[in-house]
Amino acid sequence: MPHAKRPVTATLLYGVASLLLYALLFAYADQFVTWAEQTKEHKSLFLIPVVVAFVFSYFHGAFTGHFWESLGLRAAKTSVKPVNKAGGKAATASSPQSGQRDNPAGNRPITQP
Amino acid sequence: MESSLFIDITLTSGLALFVVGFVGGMVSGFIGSGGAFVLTPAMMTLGVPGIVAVASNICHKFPKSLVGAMKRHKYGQVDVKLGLIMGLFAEAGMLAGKQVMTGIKHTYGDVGTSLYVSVVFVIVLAIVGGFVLRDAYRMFQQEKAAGGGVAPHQVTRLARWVQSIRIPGTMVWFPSIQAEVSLLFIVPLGFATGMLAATIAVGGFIGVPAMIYVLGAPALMASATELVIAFVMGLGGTILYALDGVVDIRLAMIILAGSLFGIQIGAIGTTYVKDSVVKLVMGLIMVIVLFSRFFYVPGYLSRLELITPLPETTIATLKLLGDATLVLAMAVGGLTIIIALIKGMAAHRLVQEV
Repeated sequence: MPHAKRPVTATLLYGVASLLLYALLFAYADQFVTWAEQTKEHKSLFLIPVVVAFVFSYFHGAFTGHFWESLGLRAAKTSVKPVNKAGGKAATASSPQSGQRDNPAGNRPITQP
Repeated sequence: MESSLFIDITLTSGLALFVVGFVGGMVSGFIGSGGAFVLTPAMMTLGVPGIVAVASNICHKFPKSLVGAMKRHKYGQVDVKLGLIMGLFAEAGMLAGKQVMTGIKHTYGDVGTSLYVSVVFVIVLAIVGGFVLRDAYRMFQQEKAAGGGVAPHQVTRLARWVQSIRIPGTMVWFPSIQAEVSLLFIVPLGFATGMLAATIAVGGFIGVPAMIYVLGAPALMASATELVIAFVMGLGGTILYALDGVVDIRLAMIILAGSLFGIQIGAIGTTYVKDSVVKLVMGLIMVIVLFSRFFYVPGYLSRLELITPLPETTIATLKLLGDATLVLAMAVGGLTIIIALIKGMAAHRLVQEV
């Protein structure tokens, strides 16, 4: 998509945040190892890797998403229409696929018998 | 590090894990799972104890799946309800699978467990992988006959039967299936997905085909929904292993660093391809992984003295060939995704220009 706006600022911001998180993780690597070893005595420490994983997934996930986008790698569509919400719960012969897309590859009907 | 459980991480080992994580993430973003079967052995090769390798792998899996699921949800490919319900029962299946593994380990030792894993690998991948690949081939033929069009998603006879069964009080509507299905069918499928995840680390090899062929979901939605299942299973698994203090968060976050780059590409790739391509990639990986087992099994049989003992050098060579085949599976999967993405983008650009 050559005319699409590239999220350079967001990429840089999330990139720096992600880099900082990794720098902190490895600066305090020994502390994280010690906490892991102490988990058997202090069970609540199990939360540390879980919380760390969530935090990293947020910042690094946003960074990687913006990173590829800023390089021009984008999905083939941007909007999704809910399908068959009001159409009752029975399968219909012409029900489009949930999340049907406007790209050629995505336009395929589900042929329910 | 003084601890024997947590290894020192060098620049080389860190980079190696980053790269494997990247390819694994790309495959996961595309087919909903995969990568784990290479990551765990890769970490063990670097000297990480087995339990820490499994735990750290699971700890990178849930945030990766979360990011992938959110990305593909934006594309309208995720059936959250189906993913959460299957994920819940997959969690139970994972616990049961872990018990089975522990039982086998106590009775037959590590080699017995490895042999069990290999047998499950061969049976599941031969049946399901062969079926998926055959279906992908059939769809390609249909598309070719239609002059490059898109083969319509066809609900299998089994899925039609499953959708036709009405059990009062258990029926739930699923957007991906566009029909009501009894929870009594979802429970065993979720459970089997979890059991397989606990056994070979890739529950999606059951979960995704089950959603396609047993429930009737399109391949694109099944592979996206698998990410929700993987998230639920991964979160539960991480908590369990973290309580034992065996999660190496440093390793997990290095793999995550690579896999989040990869999962974005895999997820974006799905918006440019047809169902048949998702099936092709999944079938290819499954069948190549299946062949890797043929190299491992003689060594296990030899160690259990079920065949004439083989020389250690032969066992080591066969294991190396098996590991190489696993890497090949990932490489083929990754390459196929990149090619499909490039072709899809080019075709899309052409359509837009017209």
